[in-house]
Amino acid sequence: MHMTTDAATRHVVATVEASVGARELDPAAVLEAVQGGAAGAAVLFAGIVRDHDHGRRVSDLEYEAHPSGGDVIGRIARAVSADHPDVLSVAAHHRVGSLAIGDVALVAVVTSPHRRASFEACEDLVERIKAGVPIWKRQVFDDGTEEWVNSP
Amino acid sequence: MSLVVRYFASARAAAGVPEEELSVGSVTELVEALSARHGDRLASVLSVSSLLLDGQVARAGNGSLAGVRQVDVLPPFAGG
Repeated sequence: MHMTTDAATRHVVATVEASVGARELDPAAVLEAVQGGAAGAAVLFAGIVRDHDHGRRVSDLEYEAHPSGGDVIGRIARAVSADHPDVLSVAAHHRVGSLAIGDVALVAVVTSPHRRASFEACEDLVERIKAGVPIWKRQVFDDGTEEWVNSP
Repeated sequence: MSLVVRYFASARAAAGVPEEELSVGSVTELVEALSARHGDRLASVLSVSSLLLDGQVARAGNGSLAGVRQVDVLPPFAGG
């Protein structure tokens, strides 16, 4: 049976990498690690620590993960790969610990032969990470007050 | 039988301790006991938290804690 390149790559098992850890994240390095010959598109999302929230200046920020965080983000990455059959690779790395303004907290990369699958799968990946990975964020504001985001 | 409750993030801040032991038979008893011990702030965090019972996500409602050794209190996630 004749198969086009696109049809053939659909049935290749996608490569998946995921982690939760304290190491500094380098989006370019993550992108480079997942690039391959069949990928014509890569969509990369970087979640970056911003200097304000609710109209107040953020001076300090900390992420904390449950011990299961690495397993959960790995399961999510594999599920996104399975649910988007055109994707060739999925990478998802979340940083924890004390981060500074401008630091990268999350890198999510998806590659595919054509761009649409990468855009859709990368958005799905980020939404599922935000909803499903047991990670928490504490913000300290420049007036000295602090909050755990999303929690009373 | 006693079990260990582990607190994370805002739950730990509200409880004032990272973990503690207590003896309760059900999720409802657990929430009542912890709220009575630590006050309104933990009670309000508990009202929006999920629980892991020996690593498994607890189903909604008043589950039995028979045989459970460890309960993790997970406030709403805020990664990304």
